[in-house]
Amino acid sequence: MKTLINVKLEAFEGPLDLLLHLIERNKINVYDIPISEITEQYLSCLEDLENLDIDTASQFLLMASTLLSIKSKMLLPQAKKNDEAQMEISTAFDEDPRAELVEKLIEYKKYKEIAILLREKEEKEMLLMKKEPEDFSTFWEDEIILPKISVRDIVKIYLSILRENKNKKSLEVKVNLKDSVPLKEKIKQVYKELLKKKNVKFTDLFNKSCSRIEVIVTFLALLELFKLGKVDIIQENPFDEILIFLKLGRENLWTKNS
Amino acid sequence: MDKELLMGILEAIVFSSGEPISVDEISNSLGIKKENIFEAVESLKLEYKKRHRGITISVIGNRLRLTTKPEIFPYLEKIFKPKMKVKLKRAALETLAIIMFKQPITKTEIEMIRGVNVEKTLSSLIEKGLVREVARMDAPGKPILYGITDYCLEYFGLESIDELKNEYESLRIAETN
Repeated sequence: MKTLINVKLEAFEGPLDLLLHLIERNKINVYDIPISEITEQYLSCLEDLENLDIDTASQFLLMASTLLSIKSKMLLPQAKKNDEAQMEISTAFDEDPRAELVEKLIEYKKYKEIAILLREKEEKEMLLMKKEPEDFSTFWEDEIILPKISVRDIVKIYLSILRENKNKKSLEVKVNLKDSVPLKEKIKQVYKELLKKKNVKFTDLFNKSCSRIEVIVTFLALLELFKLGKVDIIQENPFDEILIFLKLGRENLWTKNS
Repeated sequence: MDKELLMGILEAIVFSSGEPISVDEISNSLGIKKENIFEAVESLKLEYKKRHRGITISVIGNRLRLTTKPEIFPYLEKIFKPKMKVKLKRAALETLAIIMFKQPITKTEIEMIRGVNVEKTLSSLIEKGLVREVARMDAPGKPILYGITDYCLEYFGLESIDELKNEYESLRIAETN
């Protein structure tokens, strides 16, 4: 049992893993651990502790102190069994100081074994080829079919965008205000158009190739006209054409038409 | 509906679906009892067991999926040369094992069993979509309770957690005998 142990701490998943290794190596019964030998071996393994990060190192040290505390408790003289009066008090102390640690070791061992089982399953699963879902979207031409997207997919995409953009400078946004018509002018323009036609579509108020800022100014002009009570604005469904009706006095062309 | 026709339909459904498809969904859409579906799946399994079939059907958490057979992989590897996938670390596997057996479970409870900090492992498992927050514990600080995802079962090709539990139990019995 006094064999020298040469292990790398990094190879272990923590103090319980190391202890289990020592126990298995020495072919010890988990329920009857020779605590002083094991403690000695455990401590000798901690030599390369400084190679670990402080978090992991402290966990190994915590176990060392637990072992030493158990060892010292084991050294205390046992209560005499034949003393009747002392029996009751002693039962509380009778519990093996190793019991809690043994329980932990056995539980950890269980999950270590299940992890091995999971590894086998993982490896077997990697030998299976799966297929992407069929693309049925052509069967429903008029509908927008959203593919089945899970939160996981969105997180993945988000992370990949973040990664890609890390290296790029933020996209420069150029706004050219030069050509835009002042809001005042635009209001007049729109109103004139309406007086002529009585009703217009929003998209007819500017030509297709105009700048984004012009669309915005036109929209602002509309809002202004609406506020002044000069027009009615109707959009039946989201993304539908916005229809603008000229209000003549109290009359509303829209209600008249429909 | 006769069983052979149902087998054909199921084969077509799992082929089209690609990803695992829920038995409930099939049952509701087709108006066929679940037990009939499972019966047909068993027959399909038998059919696919034959050496001249390269695909197989399996049940993953009450969902059906079609995959190639593991023994065919060496041949697929030769022609498609797929990249080797990265396997999970041991810390991740141990943490998953604990969550599977004890879920819903808090981070502290996992750490008690493993004897180490599991913060990083846990967040990487969440990022991989294998673990998720399922609820909050009704205790001071309302700690998060973790559980595994459907994808986790799929990742390991498990029909259910019980399958794993039974397999582990029978392994232990075999060991002690």
